[in-house]
Amino acid sequence: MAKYQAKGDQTLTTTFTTALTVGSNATTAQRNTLYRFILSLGLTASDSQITWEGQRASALGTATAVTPGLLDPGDRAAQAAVGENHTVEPTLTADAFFFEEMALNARATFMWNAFPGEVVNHAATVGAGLAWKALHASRTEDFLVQAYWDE
Amino acid sequence: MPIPQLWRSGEVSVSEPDKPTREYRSFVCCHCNKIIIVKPGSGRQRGFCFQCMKPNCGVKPCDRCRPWEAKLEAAEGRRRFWKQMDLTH
Repeated sequence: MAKYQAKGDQTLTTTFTTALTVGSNATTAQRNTLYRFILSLGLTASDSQITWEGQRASALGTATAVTPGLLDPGDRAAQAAVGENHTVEPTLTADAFFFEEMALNARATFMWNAFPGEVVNHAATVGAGLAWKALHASRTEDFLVQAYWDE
Repeated sequence: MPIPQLWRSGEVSVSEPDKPTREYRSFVCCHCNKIIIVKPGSGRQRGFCFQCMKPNCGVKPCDRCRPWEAKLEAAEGRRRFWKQMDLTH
């Protein structure tokens, strides 16, 4: 298992928009096991409640492709399909959240770390993946997501 | 009741300028693979599966033991079947 990392961003709007998706490869389906993610807001730091959500996807939508970073330069290139700044939202699976809707101060940085083996993953089927989304009623800064996974 | 060390499967930290970093325990539901952040005193009731011997998120569909791994394998198996029948692209 090799470890990878990717970052995605998206502009806040009044509805949920996706900053980052990490999904199965389009030709050789594989599972990605998420063991860490970091949520934060770019630009102006002031108090506001940003609503965040993590949901499972069955199709990854249209996004700017991201080349994941290798945590060990000796590993092969990542196989996961990773996209940021989605222009067409992923097809999300109803009620399949990997973290439920939560409010976080715009100044805050949120980090989740899994203990070894206790990870979040998705099925090895083409299009399956994990999507990070956020919204705010008036703010229009970029929100940032960093994900770390094994594959 | 605090969750024992054995059932913890993750940690969450929230850091803000001029405020102490807040840390929470978390676990992953053994049936739906959802991250649950443990907030002592929140009143939220979670479940425990005596077959998986792990905590679950406590929502109704997760009452019945159907491990996450089994769900993944079912989804992957279904896709393989469709592919063999040439019903997917």
